[in-house]
Amino acid sequence: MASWGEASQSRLIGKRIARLSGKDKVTGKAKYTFDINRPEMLYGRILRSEVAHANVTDLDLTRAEALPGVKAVIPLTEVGRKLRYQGQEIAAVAAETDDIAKDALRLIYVELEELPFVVTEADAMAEGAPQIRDDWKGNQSNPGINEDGDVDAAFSEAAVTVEATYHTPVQTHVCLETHGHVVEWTDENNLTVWASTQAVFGVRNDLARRFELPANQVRVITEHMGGGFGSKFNAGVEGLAAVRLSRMTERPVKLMLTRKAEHLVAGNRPSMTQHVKAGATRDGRLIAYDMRGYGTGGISSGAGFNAPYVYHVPNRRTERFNVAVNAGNQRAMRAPGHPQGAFAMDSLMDELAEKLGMNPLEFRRINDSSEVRQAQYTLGAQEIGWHRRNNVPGSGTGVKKRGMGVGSGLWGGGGGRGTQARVTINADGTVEAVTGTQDIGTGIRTVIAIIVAEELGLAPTDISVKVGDSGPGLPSGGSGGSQTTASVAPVIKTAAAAAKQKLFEHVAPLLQAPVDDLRIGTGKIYVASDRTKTVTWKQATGQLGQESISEGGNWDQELRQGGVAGTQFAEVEVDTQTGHVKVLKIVAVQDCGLAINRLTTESQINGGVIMGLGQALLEERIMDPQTGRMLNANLEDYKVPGTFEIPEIKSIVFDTHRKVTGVGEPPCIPTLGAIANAVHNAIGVRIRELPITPDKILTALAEKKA
Amino acid sequence: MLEGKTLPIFSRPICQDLRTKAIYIPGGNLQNLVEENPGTHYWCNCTMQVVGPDDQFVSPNACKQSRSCFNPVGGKPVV
Repeated sequence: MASWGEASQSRLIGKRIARLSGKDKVTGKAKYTFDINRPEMLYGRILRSEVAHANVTDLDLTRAEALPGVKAVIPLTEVGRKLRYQGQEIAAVAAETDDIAKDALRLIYVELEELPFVVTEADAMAEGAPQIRDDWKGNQSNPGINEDGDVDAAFSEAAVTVEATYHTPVQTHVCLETHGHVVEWTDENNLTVWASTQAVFGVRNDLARRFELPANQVRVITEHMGGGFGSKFNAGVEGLAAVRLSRMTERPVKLMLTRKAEHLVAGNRPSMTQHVKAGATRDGRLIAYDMRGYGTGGISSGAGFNAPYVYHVPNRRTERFNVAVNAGNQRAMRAPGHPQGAFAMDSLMDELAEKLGMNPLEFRRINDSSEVRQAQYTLGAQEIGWHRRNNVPGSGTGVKKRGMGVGSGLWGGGGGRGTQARVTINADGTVEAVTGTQDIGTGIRTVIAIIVAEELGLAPTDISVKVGDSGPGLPSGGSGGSQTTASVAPVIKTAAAAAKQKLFEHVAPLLQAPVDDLRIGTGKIYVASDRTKTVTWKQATGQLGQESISEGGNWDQELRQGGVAGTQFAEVEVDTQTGHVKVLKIVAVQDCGLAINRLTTESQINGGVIMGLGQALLEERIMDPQTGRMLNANLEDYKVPGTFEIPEIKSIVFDTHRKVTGVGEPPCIPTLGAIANAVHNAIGVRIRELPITPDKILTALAEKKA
Repeated sequence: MLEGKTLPIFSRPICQDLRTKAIYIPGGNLQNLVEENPGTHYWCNCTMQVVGPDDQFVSPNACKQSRSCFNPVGGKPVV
C-alpha cells in the first residue's frame, strides 16, 4: 500500500521549506498576467453600466471607432437587452494605448431606459418591491426546507432558549491582481492566453468551446497568480471580450479589470441573515434548533450557508432562500457558506452557554463529537491562556477592556482524480516535474518540488517544476475546494517513485545488485545489503546516455484524506471610548493531515485568519439604495486588514495523520466567531451583525448603559 | 475540466454551456448540473453571465430544450 512513510524517515516532507518562487516574487522577477506585455499589444477597456437596472434602447460605437488609435470596438450587450446591475458590461475597446482606450469609452453612445431597482435585501423583500427576476416570486428563490427530529417537543424540554438574528454582509474577494487576460492569436486557429485564473485547463476548455477551436489549439498560461479565492474559475466576460478584440485586430490584447470593476462584477461572498432559535438542557446538551435565513448573491442564486454548523443538534428545522438584488453576482469565495454559518453558530453557542451559566468552551465540548476538535480545544485554550478570560463578560476595568472567544470550523479537502503529471530524469542529473495545475499563491510549486526531491534524494531547488501551462497537455483540475494538494501530491509522488524505479533498473548492473536492493540516499543511490556499494546521483543518471526517464503517476487514494477540523481562539482589546477593536492574538489550531511543507501550511493558516479578521471587523460592500451603486468600490473605503490590524497569529499545524489534505479554505472559518465572542467577553454586550465597527460597539454600549 | 470525472447519469438532456464551480474542481458535485441547488451559483459559458444568450437566467431547471440557445451535450456550440 502506498504511503508517505514515517515522519522520522522524512528528510523534507513536513519540514519548513521556503517557497521556490519567493525570491522571484519579492524581487519582481515573477511575472503575473498583469506583467505580460507582447509585441504590438493593444490595451483593452470595458464600458460598464453606472445604473443598477435598465433597458438598453440605443448603442452607437461609431464615434469610438473613429478615434485615432482605436483598433476595435465591440458591443457586449445590445438594444432590447437588460442591464441588471452597476458594472454590467456594455462595450469593449482595444486601442494602441490605455489612455486612448479610456478616451474611446467616453465616446460610446448608450441610451438607457432606467428601471426600478433594489440593492438591499430588505428593499428586495418589501411588499410592492420591483420584481427584478421574473423567475422568482417577490425576488426570492424557492426556499430549501429541512427538518430532523421533533423540534417543537425538543423546545418544550429545553431549560434555556435563545432567539437572535445574526447578519453578515456581502464581502468582495479583493484579489490583489485583478481579473484579466493577455490574449494572442498565433494564427487564425491557435490561441494563447495568459490568464489570471485558478483553472488553467478549465479556461482552456471553456474558450475552446466558445470559439469553436480544438482544445489542444488553445494554450492557457498562469505562471503566477495574484489571488483568486474562488472568483477566477472562468474567463469571464472580460476574457471573451479580449479574445474577440484580439481576433478582430489580429494583435495581442491585454484586458485587466480595474479595481472598481473588481468590486462590482468579479464576484463576492453572499450576505447572510439568520433568524434562529435554539434550546439546550440544563446539563448543556443542545437539543433544539429552528432557523429561517436568507442571503443575497446579487442577481444570482448561490447564497447558501451552513446552519446549524459543527455542533450536533438532534432536532432541527431550517429554511433558507436567496434574495435577488440589483448587484453583481456572487462567486465562490474561500469556504463558501462556512464563515457566515460559523459566525452565527458560534455566537449562538456562547449566548446559550451564558444563559446556562456555563463556560462556553465546556458547552462546546459537550456538543462537539469531533475528537480532533476536542484535542484542539485543549491545546488552543492552553496557548491563549483561556483561564485569563473574564468569567463575567465585560467585568474588566478601565477604558480598554480585554476579552477572549473561541470559534470552530470544518472542511473537506480530500482531492480528486483528474491530474496527469510527468517526472523526468535527464542524463545530466536534472529533474523536471510537469503538471497542469496552477500555483494560486498557496505554494503548490514548492510542494511538488519537495515530494520529488524527497523521493529522489535531492534538494527541492534541484527540481524544475513547471505548472500553470496547458501547453504540455497534462491536465489538472482547478484550484478550488482546498483540493489542489490532495489532488496533485499523490500523482507527483507516484510519478517520482516510478521514475526512481526506472533509474534503479539502469543503475543495478553498475552496482551489481538486484533492483529491489537499491535505495535512495541524499544525492546518491546505494545497495541496502552492502552500503559500501554506492553511486552519486550524477553517476547514476549518467548511465542514461542520451535517454531520459519520464514517468507518469496516478492518484492513489491511500495517500490522501478528506475532512478537517479547526478551532481558533481570539484575544481582543476594545476601547470603550472610541469603539475600536484591536485583535491582540489569534491562536489557530488547524487540522492539516500531512503538511508537505509546514512553512507554507502555516502561511495558509495566517492568510485565512487575516481574511476572517477582515470579515469580522472591516469588510462590507455598501450599496446606496438611492442610486443603486456601490459606495465603496475601491480600497480606500472598502477596508481590508493591513499591518496595523493584523495581530500576533499563532498558527498550529495540527497534523494528526500522514495523509495529504487541503487547508486553503478552513482557516478563515472560525475567526469570525472567535473575535465576535471575544468582543462580547470584553465588553459584555453582543454584536450580532458584522463587521464589528466602532459605531456598533458604541451604540451597543450606550444601549446597555441606558 | 472534466478530465478524470465520472459524469452522473443524467436523467434528462443538460445544456453543455451550463456552468457551476463543481465542473472545474476535482471531486466537485456534478449532480448540481442536473438538480437545481439554491446554494450553487450558475452561469453560461456562452455569455459568462448568469443569463444565457437569450437574456434569460440559467440553471438546471431553467436551461431547457425549449430555449433557443439550448445545446445538449454533443450538440452544436453556440457562437
